[in-house]
Amino acid sequence: MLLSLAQPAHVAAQSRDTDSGMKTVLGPRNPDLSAGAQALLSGEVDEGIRLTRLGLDSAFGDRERVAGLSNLCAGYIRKHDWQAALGYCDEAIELDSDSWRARTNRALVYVFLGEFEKAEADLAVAEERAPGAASVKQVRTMYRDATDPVIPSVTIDDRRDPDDDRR
Amino acid sequence: MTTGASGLRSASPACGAVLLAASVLAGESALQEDSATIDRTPMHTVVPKYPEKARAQRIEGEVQVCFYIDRAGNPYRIAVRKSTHRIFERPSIRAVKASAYVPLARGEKLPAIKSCRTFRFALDPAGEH
Repeated sequence: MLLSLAQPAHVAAQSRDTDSGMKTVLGPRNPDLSAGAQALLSGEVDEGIRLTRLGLDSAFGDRERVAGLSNLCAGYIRKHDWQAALGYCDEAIELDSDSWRARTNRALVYVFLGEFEKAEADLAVAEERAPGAASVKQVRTMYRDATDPVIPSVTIDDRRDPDDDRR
Repeated sequence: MTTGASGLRSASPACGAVLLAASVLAGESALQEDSATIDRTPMHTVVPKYPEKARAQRIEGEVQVCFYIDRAGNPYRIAVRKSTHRIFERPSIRAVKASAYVPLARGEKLPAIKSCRTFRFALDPAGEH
């Protein structure tokens, strides 16, 4: 399952290099949030949730809070705890109603809960904000598969070349 | 599984299925009398896998692939003649390449006629099956 995980922002710290002057070093501003996202991505759900909670305690600003809450939502989706996931997604969307990651995650929760109208509403916002995102597309597919299931079929029809007159 | 007079149908979404045609070879004398107009008999028909991206995006379509068949029954000079969506072209060409026809018997004339195979990719409502 491809969940929409936010990678927390990186900050540029500058240090002086004796030979070439200034050198820019990139590092995560909130290491716990970043490590939590990595853990969730690699399937270590409990560790990911633990680190994300730590990251949320030291979150700087709404942007980091929304990222952390959305990632917690994703973590609980992985644990199939829909109510906990819904709570964190709701909190994230309250802080930022345009957060496409939180909207995508919440749409997925609604798909699992069979609340398709709510899922559609969240997906519409997510698609508007991030139309090319793989996680948005995947949740759209899951939504379609739940609301309009199909069975693929391939039919073969053999003919001689209709334009060939050498017969 | 079978539709139409010459059609094969696979509803397996999992992978490209291999179907063996249940055709019966015509008598050799009849083949020699009318070799220029006789179709080759499919021996090993590969059905392309429905592309996952097309299924996910609910894309249906049709591809017509035309080709020659050599004496051994292998398709060659395979080319797409008509296509409603590019997403179906590669699996269709692969399926034709992996398919085979019954080899010609000794003395049998090789028909210089191109064969065409049309693949129809459809998505049927799951409730109707």
